[in-house]
Amino acid sequence: MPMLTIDDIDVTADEGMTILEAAGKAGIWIPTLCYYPKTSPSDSCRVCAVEIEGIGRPMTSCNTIAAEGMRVHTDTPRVRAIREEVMKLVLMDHPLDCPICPAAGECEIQNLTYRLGIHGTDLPLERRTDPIVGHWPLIEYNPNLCITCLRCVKVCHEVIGASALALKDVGYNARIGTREGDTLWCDFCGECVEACPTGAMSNKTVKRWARSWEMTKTPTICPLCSAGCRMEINVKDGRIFRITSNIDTHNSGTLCAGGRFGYDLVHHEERLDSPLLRRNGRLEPVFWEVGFTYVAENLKRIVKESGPDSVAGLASPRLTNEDCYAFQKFFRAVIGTNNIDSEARFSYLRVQRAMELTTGHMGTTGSLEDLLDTDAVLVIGIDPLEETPALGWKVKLAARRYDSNLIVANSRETSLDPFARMRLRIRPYSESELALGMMKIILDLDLWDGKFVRNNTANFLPMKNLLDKISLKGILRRTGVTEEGLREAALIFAQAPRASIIFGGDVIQQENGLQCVMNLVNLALLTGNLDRDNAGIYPIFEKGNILGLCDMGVMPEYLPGYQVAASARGTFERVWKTDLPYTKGRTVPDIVRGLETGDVRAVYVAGADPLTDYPNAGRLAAALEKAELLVVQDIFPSPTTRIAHCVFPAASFAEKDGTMTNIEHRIQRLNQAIPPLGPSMPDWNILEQVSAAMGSSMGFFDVSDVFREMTLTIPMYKGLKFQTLQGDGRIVRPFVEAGEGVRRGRRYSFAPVRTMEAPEKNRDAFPLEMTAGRSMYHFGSISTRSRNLLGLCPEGYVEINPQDADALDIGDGERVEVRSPVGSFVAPVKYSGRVSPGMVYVPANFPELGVYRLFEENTTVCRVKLTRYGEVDRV
Amino acid sequence: MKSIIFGRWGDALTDSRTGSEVHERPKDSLFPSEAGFPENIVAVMSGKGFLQFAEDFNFVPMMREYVKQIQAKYCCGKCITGIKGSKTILVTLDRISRGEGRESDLDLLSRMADVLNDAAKCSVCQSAGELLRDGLHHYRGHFVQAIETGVPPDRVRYLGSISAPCMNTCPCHINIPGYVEMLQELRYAESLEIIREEMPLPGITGRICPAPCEKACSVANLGDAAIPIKTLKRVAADYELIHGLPVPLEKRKLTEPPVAVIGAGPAGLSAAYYLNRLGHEVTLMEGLPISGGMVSVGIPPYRQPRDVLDREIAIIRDLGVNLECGAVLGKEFTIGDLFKRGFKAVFLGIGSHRSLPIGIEGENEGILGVFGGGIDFLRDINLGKTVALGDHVVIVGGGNTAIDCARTCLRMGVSQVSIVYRRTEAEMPADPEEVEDAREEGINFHFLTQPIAVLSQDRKMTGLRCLRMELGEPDTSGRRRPVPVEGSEFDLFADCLIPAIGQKSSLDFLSPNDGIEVTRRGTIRVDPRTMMTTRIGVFAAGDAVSGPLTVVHALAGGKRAAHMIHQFIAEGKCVPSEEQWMHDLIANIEKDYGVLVTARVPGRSESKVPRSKLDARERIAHFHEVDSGFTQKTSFIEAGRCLRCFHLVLAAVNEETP
Repeated sequence: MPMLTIDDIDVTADEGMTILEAAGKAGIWIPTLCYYPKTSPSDSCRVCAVEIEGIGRPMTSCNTIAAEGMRVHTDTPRVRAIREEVMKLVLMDHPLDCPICPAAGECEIQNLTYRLGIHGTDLPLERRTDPIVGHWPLIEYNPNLCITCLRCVKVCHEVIGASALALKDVGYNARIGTREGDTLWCDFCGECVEACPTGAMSNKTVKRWARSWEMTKTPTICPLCSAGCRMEINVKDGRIFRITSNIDTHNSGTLCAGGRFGYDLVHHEERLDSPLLRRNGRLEPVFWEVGFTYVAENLKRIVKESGPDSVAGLASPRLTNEDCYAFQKFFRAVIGTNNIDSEARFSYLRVQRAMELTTGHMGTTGSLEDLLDTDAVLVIGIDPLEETPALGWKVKLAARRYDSNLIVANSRETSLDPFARMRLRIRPYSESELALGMMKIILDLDLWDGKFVRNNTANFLPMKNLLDKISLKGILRRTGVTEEGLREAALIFAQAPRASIIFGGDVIQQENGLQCVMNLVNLALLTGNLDRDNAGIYPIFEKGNILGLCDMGVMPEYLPGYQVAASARGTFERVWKTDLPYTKGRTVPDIVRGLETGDVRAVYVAGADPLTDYPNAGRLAAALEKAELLVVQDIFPSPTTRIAHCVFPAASFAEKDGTMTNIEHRIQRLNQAIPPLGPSMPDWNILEQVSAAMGSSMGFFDVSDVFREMTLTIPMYKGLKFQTLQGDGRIVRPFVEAGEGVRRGRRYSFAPVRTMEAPEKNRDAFPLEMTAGRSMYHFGSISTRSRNLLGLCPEGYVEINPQDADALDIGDGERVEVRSPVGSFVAPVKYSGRVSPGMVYVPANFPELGVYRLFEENTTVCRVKLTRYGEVDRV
Repeated sequence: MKSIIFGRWGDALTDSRTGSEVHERPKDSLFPSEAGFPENIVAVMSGKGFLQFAEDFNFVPMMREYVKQIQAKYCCGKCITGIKGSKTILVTLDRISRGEGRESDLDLLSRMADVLNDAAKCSVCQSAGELLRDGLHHYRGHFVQAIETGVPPDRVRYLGSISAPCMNTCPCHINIPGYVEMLQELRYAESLEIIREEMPLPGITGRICPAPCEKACSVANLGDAAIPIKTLKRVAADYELIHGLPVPLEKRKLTEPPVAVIGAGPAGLSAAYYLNRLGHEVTLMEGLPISGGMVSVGIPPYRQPRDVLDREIAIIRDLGVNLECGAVLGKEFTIGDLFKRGFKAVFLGIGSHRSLPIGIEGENEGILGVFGGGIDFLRDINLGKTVALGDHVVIVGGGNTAIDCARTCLRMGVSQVSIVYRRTEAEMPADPEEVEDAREEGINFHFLTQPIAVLSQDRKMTGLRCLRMELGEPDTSGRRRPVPVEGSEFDLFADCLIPAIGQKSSLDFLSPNDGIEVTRRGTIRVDPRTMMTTRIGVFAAGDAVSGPLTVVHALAGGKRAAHMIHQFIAEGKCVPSEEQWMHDLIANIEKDYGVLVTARVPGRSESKVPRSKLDARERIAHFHEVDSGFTQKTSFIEAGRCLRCFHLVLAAVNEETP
């Protein structure tokens, strides 16, 4: 640790710290303008120059490493002269249009000029009058305000890895432009706007509507995906005008398009603005009390007539932890049933089931930050830029800066492909086979971690037997990769001292999801990549609070905190002052069957739209229509609200307090930025009101009451306080002992399983294979209510390889009917080299498409045929 | 010879404008030699200083041109002071030149000179500040005059070129600070693109270039470890390779006349590549069964992996260069035949593949165990021939070939390998890293040892008789001459001898009819400016011209020849371009590396950049690459140390063309 003096004050710097950082540590202010801690220094502004004794020329403190014995002076006449002269150079041609500048009030030139006491400039130069670049979506560049500090270029390249922006031209003509020609290859994360110290890069959506000083900022978290990025909601007169972020956060203030621009969904005019009750076949606005009474009385009646198990509930990963907790309590304590489930049934619960049998970790085993320093990463069945961008950025940076060897295995091209050492274009559905193939090679080459396997795992022999039996040829045929490719991937993965596996929707949502996750875990176990820093398993699911939903026990299998009734009954019955139900409870498929047989008569849906988000939505719709009582609480009308008997308007994430749990298992606070719009209420409160109307209040008068109860009943929440859980929150790592003794006393266990092959039936009638995923600009279906994001991706589409499109004689942008054996939808075609011939890809975000209607149970892959629909309609 | 009327170079100054000469610091030690400047030179401005040669000279328009070129081409646009400081100077000098100057402009210029000096990010703009300060001090009269009356139209022509000590020392003139900066910005593809502009084999030179640039590096000359320029180049090349990225070179239509390139070594590959880029149909003919020249048959794969070489050759072939292997010039065809086949020019890049004998008793008597030469030995191994080695091999020589032979023997299972060299380790021409690696692997070195006879029994070698040497007076090469120590004869036990003291070109294929002259050194005679041999239309470069030299020299020669061939075919003549003229001028004025940068980040504690290589015991078991280059983490840190000591060299000359 180098010791130096700065302005005659002794400072001990950390190894590798710059003089600027060391000065900051000692509380000494050095002016900066281009400095941006998120990126490497561009040292372009020169105002942070300091003098170092023995060195002839002033040095920029932002990129000079503090060294032992240095004597640094930050306030000498020479240094002051440089600062003054630089600021005069900055101001000499800078338009002093401050009143109409988008950065007014938060402009760093303005602030520094003020702080340094610069009274204008005596240097002569005409103002720049370059044309403003105004044709990009959402973002505008005013070259006249730009000081080429390169923050935007660097953040775009280094942090996001989009590299959309570049410095173009040289000398005085140097300005920010696009990487290639006029095309802006942009992810629209808006990081350039956040980074810009002036008004050069600005957010078009806030223009002329609100000034920085008029808005109040509420720190909260972005609920759209499961990365849980921290952000600040900027509000003026009860309306959100923009999202900003703070660099001192776990996500370093970095947000994606969804976080930065998706906020406008909150104010979308379709927000439900009244409780609705079906009368004479139509949903009509009613007072809350009318709705509560209706629901309460009908629920009581049905419970009385058919028992509590005739009522079922479906919740959503969009809800907060408190909403989820209240939801399950409502069902278990007020109704008296375990019939609660969610779309996690078709996604994350498979992960948890697989993890429970093998490792006991109920989610990711490391943090996002850990990925920066992992030696190899297998990214399989996920394009992180589409599911959790924050994770994708880390992987990209690791591959470019920290020597991480990236292996991408996917059925289509992903945004990580250009950064990968190995790109394995696998057949859809074959992720599990790929993992088995890699394991087989690793075992054959004796590259497995024998010590780890011996000391920590059970069931290695059955695993080995299975691998010995498998033919490599068969794996190559089923995965579609070459032997060299598979071998290389296996070598890279096995030889890495620390390796991680990231997988997502394609793995989790397929019919084989459970087996597939098991085999990926097997691969991690075989190579000893658990319990090691910077190595582990990252199961990713897009939707915001998917882990919180599971943690809160919104499923029949577990009570909150993965506790089972057998051991935790006492705790809950004491706190809830009522008996817990003894029946097992129904999962979604059981609920559907129950509805079909009439055993389930009432369904209560909170925050979810099963008809859009659940597989085989056709059967589900028919089943739900048979329900005597369908109650839905949500913020927007949806295909499900349309068939409901009663609809309650819920408050959005911006309108309520609570907590959410991100994919790292980080519990964070969501803070209310605006009051609930119209008559809407937070979900937990609606449930409390219904309970009260049923005559058995849950005792929740404030959201902190819910949280407090969570700390009493859920061991991993013990000691947390709602009011003090601010900032980066708290990471918890739930670990469950395996049920059924499968781990046989060892910490971990292999789960040797093979998987079924992809369905090949109907090959001739349905020649193409369709996979569903998500658009990079949308998160679930909720973001399709954001005009800003719709501007980037306005509607659903079908990606098809131009080769297939040619064969079918379908033009780019033409509308086609996509038909599977069980359903169909119509969407425009988008030519794309990202999908291989023989395949099509659709984002499942758009409810009007109802993509999931095309799937039979439990999967996101099916066979389809495409036919041209109606007239040519160019998009 | 031109003489310097006024000069400031570094902090040395000479001024004879007023009659009596003024010197501050002796000029002879620092100033470039006046002999190296062409007759028509008027003045030179560079980051190192300013030189005035002609009496009739005006500082103001030259200064204006200097900042004009900086603004138009060289100011990177990445620092506020550079952008706006040099722009302000340009605008002000423009105004002054139009006769609209004001007295206060002198103050303004002086302020800008100071701010560029103190706070410009790199030496491009800083140099302008320094030169302007020179001008305002030593040529104040010119400025005052210009403010009063403007500046009359210029009678001189200006030629500018960017330079940096590393760039200038690199025979290929690669924009080194440029590609290093791209690596620091994690822009691997862009970095490689910059390298490929001037040199087509980045993966190879990133491994085996002797890196003269690193000796010129300002960081090194300020007492720190040089920027590892060579290995950083490898980082860029390997990134593309291991990520399997497409090579961003466009295949262009080959509409220019066909050219034959003989020899697919570095010189030939480079000539073929640049001729292809200029639109020529190129046929590349190689006499050996494999391409790559000395890189493939003279360098063992543990230093230069074959797949890297193959890929870089494949890239050139994919651009449309035809490769014909196995046809030997002089045997299957003659130069005349090539012209008859329709080639409009011929390039000879035949390298230097014949070993030189030591000239000792028993060397050429067919004794079992005595090899013809190191380069032949390596070629046989690399072509996959079976070579019988004994248990105790002695290699004679001190260059890289000797080390390559020794380490190859070790990898073939020889238990005792020794190198005999007649001077000390300090005089060895081999790369110090190679010597270090060889020693780690267990090779014995006998320094100050001169072999005098091969000992044998029954025509089988049994040992090598040697003499002890000591160092005497320096010889013409500047190295101290080894002289024998009287009566110091001793015998080394050995059953194999590989002489590796040097090699030369095999020019037997030439017949007097070819009209190609050979020098007394046994190399092909060319005009060094145009690379044309004594036969019109036949060009040559590489080791066959220079004698055994480095890959990067051969690449540079091939590149220069390609441009000359292009010009020769189009215009029937060869005149060095302005760019080449400037390179030659810069080569003259930057002979000493000088120190351009006045301040730098304090040095690192270790004097060497860490290398990552396989363990010696492990690596001698196979021919896998020893050195694994840098990690990205190291590359990022090392690239960040570059001082970007670019500067513009501007020459004012008197006539139409230089």
